Amino acid sequence: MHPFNRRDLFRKVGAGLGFAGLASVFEQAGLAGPLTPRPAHFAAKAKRVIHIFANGGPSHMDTFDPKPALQKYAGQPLPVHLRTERKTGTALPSPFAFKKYGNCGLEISDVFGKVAQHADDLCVIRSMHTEVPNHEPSLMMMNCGAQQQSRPSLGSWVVYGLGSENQNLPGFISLCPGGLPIRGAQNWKSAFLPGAYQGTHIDTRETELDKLVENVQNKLTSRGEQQKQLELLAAMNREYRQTRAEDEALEARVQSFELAFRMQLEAEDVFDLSKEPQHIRDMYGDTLHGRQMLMARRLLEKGVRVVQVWHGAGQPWDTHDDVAKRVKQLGQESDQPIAAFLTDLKQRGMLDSTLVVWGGEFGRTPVVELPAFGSNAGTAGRDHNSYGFSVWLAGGGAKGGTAYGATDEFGFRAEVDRVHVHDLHATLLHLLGFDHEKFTFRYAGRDFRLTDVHGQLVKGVVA
Amino acid sequence: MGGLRFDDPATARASVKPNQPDSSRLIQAIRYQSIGMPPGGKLKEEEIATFVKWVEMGAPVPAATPAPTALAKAPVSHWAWQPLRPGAGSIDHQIRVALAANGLTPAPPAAHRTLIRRLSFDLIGLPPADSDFNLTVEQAVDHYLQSPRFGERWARHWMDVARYADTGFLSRPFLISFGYRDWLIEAFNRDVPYDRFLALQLAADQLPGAPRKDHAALGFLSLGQNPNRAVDLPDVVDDKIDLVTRGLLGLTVSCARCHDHKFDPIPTKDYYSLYGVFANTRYGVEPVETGTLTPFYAQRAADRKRILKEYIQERLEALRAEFRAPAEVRRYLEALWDGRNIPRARLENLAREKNLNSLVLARWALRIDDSPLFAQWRAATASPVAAYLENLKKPEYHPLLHGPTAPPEVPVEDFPYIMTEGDANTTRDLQWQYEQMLNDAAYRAPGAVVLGAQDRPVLKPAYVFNRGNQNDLGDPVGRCFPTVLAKACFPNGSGRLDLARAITSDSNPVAARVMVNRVWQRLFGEGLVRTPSDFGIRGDLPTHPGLLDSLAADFRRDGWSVKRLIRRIVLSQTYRQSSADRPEARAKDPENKLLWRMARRRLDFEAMRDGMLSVAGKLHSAIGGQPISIVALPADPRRTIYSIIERERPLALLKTFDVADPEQHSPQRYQTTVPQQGLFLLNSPFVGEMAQAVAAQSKHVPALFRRVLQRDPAPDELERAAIFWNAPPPPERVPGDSPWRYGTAKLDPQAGTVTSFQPFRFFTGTAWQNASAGVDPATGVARLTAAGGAPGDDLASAAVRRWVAPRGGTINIEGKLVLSVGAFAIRFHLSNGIRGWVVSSRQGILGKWRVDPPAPPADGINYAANPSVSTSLKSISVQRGESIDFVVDSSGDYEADNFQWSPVITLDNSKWDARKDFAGPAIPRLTPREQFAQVLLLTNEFAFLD
Repeated sequence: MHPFNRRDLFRKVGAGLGFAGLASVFEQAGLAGPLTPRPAHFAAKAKRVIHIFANGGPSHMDTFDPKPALQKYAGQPLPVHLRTERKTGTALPSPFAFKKYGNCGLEISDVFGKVAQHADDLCVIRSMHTEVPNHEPSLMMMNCGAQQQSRPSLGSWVVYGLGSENQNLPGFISLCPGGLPIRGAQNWKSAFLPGAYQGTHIDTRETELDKLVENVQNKLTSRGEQQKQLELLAAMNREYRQTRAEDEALEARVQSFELAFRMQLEAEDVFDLSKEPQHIRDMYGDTLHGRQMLMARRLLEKGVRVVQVWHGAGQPWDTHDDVAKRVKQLGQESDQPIAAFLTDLKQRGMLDSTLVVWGGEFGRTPVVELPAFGSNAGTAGRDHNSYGFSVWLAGGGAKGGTAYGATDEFGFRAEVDRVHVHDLHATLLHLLGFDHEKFTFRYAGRDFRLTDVHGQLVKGVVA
Repeated sequence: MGGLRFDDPATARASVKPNQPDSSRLIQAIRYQSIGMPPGGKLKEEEIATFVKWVEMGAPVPAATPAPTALAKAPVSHWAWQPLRPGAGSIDHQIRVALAANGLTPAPPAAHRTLIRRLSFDLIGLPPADSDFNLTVEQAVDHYLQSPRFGERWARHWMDVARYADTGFLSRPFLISFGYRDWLIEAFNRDVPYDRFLALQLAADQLPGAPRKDHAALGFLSLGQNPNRAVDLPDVVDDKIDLVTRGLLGLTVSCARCHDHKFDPIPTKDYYSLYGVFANTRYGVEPVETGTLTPFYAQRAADRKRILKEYIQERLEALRAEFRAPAEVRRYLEALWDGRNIPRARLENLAREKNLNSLVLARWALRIDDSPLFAQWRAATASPVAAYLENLKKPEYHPLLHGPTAPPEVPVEDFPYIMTEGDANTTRDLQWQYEQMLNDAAYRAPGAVVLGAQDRPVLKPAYVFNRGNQNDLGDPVGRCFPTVLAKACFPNGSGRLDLARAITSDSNPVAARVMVNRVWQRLFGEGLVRTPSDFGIRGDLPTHPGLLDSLAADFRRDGWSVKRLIRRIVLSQTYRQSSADRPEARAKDPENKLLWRMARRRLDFEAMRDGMLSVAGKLHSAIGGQPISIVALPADPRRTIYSIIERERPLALLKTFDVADPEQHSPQRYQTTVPQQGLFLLNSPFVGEMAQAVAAQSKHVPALFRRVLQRDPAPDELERAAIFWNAPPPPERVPGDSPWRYGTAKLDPQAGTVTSFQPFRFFTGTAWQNASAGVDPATGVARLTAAGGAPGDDLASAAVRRWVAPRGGTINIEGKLVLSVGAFAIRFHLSNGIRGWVVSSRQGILGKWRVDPPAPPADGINYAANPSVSTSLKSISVQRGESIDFVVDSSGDYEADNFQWSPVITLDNSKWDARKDFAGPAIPRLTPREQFAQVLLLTNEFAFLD
């Protein structure tokens, strides 16, 4: 029943904390918690996953999908014009230069000139597509595999499937600075899976520990006092249990206090970036995004199964206006931190076992958006585009140095080797060791899957 | 049949070669190339094409599942759909018979104190009062059933069923959500018969003689998924179908949205029969007046409604004109000529491909198919588009461009199908403005309005959506009941009342079974059917079928009285059993399915939090009203049922403790144990505050035990307690030394005085305000944040950031007052500006400013930045203790008056920065006695019910 032995658990939760009086309690504890690690369907390289979410819909033709043909049509209507959400006009060429990088010669724009140094590790999928060009449903599709109906997020599924390596931290953490993205906690919801699989949001703009993780700091008592409280609590609970020895739920609750106590120490440690050497902090950069990516690495290293890193509250990549300035700025914010993160994983030997995913909920139009009340002011911006966009993978068994699939000449629509979000999900699950068709949860009379009845493994992105 | 069977997954799978339709036996068979399936006649070409496409896609299938039961032979004989077959004898008799058959015996009765505590938490969700222990069990049961707290406990249970939420899409508040919650509390307290309880929730608007205030019951339907795009309608409707069928009937009808139910006899047709009911209902859009709105709010609401209507009309005209322009007409006609062979069901794809509006395209297609003016088109062999563009200039073709049947003249109810994203945002915000006014009104005068639901003015027929695709219409369907339960259709309006009556009709056994099972589950931890919302073929079988049916039969016979049902159950010996373990019984029935003992249960989050408030002597007893925040400081002492439930921003605390997810109907709660629960209990200011209150009210250790655990301490417990109790208290509590105060006050501009300063009561984590969530009845939306805030209604509730001079001297003040008014408020003239004042308690008004919103820009696009004014003051001499007030008032109208104003004060070398210094209340360190009290609150003994 329990996929690990008792000694293993003891080592994880009980040792060396000055809990002499409690040791016997842990010895009895062979309890499987909701986050107990468990194997996937088959052995896989990726042991953990990080999803860097460029929320708002990053412009693929300004970042990872070069479209020189747009220059030719600058200021003129394109021969292809698909229906767009808002009124759009003529072709808007990218204001950014693309260069070839790495041995593979992957073309990437200046916006991500530093991430581009890792070209040989990147697998850019240029033929992504999704259902609709609206943020709310597309965020839900990218995160939960369904636009409207309430379904668990990818992160919740993964933690449900694999548990987490660190019982003292949440198994799924969503880092987002300055508040919440559009649709808030829906993006990391557990829906009908138990609440333990829900993502825990951390506002990385905060610097005080207790604002990062709710109630993680003990302000009511000193640590020594709390330890005495816990000893008393354990004694009282032991007495209560004497006549109720068979009840595991009692023991689980006793254990949860010990875990909580350890979580305080663990959190204090993991979120304290000053513990990193200066050269590492310099590499990430002392900026909001630098600190956030460094925090992500520390969490992954500590055994957190899934980390999501959002660019910011709301939808920062939603560049309806002034692509030249705004996309440049967004790149300046995130390029170096992401590049440093990849370097860092590699030098720690973690990249092979960490699946890195970068992307947004959809892409943007190759044509300029026209001004309208209630949406934008119409200064060289791009509208939403669900027909074609790019995401990239790195590490964790993804095929580096690859551009998979293609959009049409202008980047309007995915044409070659189209990859739907469901296919991406099937592939991510595969890289983590799951057959997406067999990875189910029985609820309300049905066996639910992340990919519903869809999804095909994209073999071309698997190394 | 050559071994080709589709009800056998293995052979079915073998008949398909993924990606190779031509060599798949299945395709050969349906093409009648080999054996010719189905035998009755060849499928339509289109249907065959679908199969081919599926095979080309690699023949994906949903998750591996047991062999599905074919619909045709699905056992309608399944137990759940049979008439009630009550078992013989009492609850206890039936339980004992089943126990005896398995060589088991019931447990002895629980101790009296245990039983009273069990009853108290189960019936009212609170720990027993001391005096309750003197009651007999019968007396206690009656006492609790009559307590108004009973409704609060059981309404919360129903809110799990009803996926209750206070805010919905994009976290905007629903129109008076809490009217529904309060209605539920009252309904449980009044013991409204369950059949009427359901009828009101499904169709109060159609139920003859139902009082207007009972329309609040319609929140059951209205407080669901509410995105506002027209294309989302199927999901909005699905939310209701799922709620009603799983919640009230134990049927998983939503499984039949795209195809016939795999296991239960629920064809897709039945899904769309219910679709017709709920798609013809409008939810929570129009309030129902049950009292009188104040003139202010009545006027406001009317204004907002008018603005919305005008906006829609204006945009509708503009869009119609665009669709009527010759260049546009040409694009539609050309598309329809190019796509003349495309089935009408695929028009959506054509519209997508050609970048056209699909509704307008469909309207043109309809005219092309049915109008005599298009006879020439229908006969054409070469493109008639050019000819038609000429024709359209002629008067006789006028009806194609103007008038109700003209394709460009989209009717107002279809505006959602043609609006732009900007329109979608704007109309949604305008609707919210309107609802906000009514919510504000309801916060101040509860009960003046409730939210309702009503039928659509024009009923639309329903069709099966092929494969769940709303653009692919199949057969028309009526508005009817699921056929597995009854053959009954609904002639009246949308059919909601008919539906409610069908659900509780004498011939439907399911509704009573489902409800008695839910009640049983709440009292025993598990239902007699352990899948409480799935009584279908894949659900669990009842552990005691006869008992379930006798409870259901008695429930109906008793006039659907929930209180009598509960009374009958809790007075049984089965409920009164001890929860003590008996290893030999456990060996035979480890899951206690036969109820050889009472289950030990952990308190749910509501009972735990309310229990702490109760033993701390803090619990507030008022019933109903606007939602509260359970994380604001200090603790809002109202019961947890009043916690604001945000569908899109679920409070981590509620998730942590497994409170029902408000996304959809919740059959039963999980019970997980995670360390975040421990963190809350160990470290949260809430538990700290409760521990302080408990300790403060307990003279000695035995009193503390009685207060928290309702018992006296054992000798060894006294000994342990003494270590804490007699420890010296820590030297000092941290004193607050901030010079800042936050509150409201009355500003008298003539006299230059600020009087009646009232500090705000709650800190939300980002703001100080008077209601822990929402709007305070007296001071309205007044609040202060680090950067700014909002004023209350008028000069009597101005927002005041007060600085009290810690010493005398000369100060300088730097500051900028900004009116945070966006394009939306400017365009619709929602703000009348604000006034800022700096007032000294000794010197009167030191400065005053006014900030007004700018006029809308001429181009309608480029809105100005937020208006602001500098509020810097130099060289003001102050005395120690003198207060300098930064006052903002609404200038008579509080709407859209958010401001930013975070002054910086310098005095010699000291500096006070309002933004940086902004803080919530200090969290005091617990004394050893309080630490001990906290431990008692954390014990398993407190958290579990024996």
